[in-house]
Amino acid sequence: MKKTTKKTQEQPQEEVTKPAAPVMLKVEITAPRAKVGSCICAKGAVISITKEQADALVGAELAKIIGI
Amino acid sequence: MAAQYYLQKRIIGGFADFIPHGETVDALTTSPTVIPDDDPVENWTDYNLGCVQDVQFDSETEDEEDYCPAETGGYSKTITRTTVRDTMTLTLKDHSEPIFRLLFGLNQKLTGATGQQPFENLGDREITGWLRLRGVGSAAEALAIVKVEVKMRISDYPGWNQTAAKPVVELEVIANTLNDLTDDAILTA
Repeated sequence: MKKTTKKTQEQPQEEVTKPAAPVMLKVEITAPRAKVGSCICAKGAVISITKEQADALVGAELAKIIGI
Repeated sequence: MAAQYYLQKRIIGGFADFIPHGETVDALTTSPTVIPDDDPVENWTDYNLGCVQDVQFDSETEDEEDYCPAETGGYSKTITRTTVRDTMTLTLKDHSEPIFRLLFGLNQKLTGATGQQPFENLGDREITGWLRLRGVGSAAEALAIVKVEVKMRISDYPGWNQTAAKPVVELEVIANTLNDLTDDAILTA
């Protein structure tokens, strides 16, 4: 028996782009208390958060950026 | 203050949530300076120790005696009392991960996924973390909520036998800077 092969049309591959990893910054809390996400951070806490969160905290004079 | 405050049995028991330091809550690692908030409530209830059948409060004090000459002759003695340690002792109905971790002397969190060495911890078998203790009334309302940083140890364990094993844990207060004792109507109850 003769084998028949079906020709399949090549479909153009869709480009899969990975979402860029958020830039994380290390900040130190300088206020007595600051709310970050669903946590409360006390003065001296060193946490790693997104750039947007860090900008908001620094803008409100609640924290300072100490590294990445 | 209503008179029945002294007559009614208002707090009938409690619920305790204990978050060991190093847990991840909302992408942050809990520590002495990072404390989970109440919103969402799962921040705490995911770490529930279960029903608390009995709560005992205890304070350890030290006295210092001073003798001074009295104006009228002889000596006058004064005692200066200092509170050096506060503990809460909870009798639990249920077992949870921290109980097994302490009971089996594990150095790490009990995961169940990989084999762990039992009775490896030869030091002080304790877990440090944040406690949320809710005293509840007979109408299922939380009358008082306290959050403190504590060291948890097993103070009494009845053993495995024909009766239900109810672990007793001692929680030593090590920080109370959060100022988070919430009066939810206990004073006006």
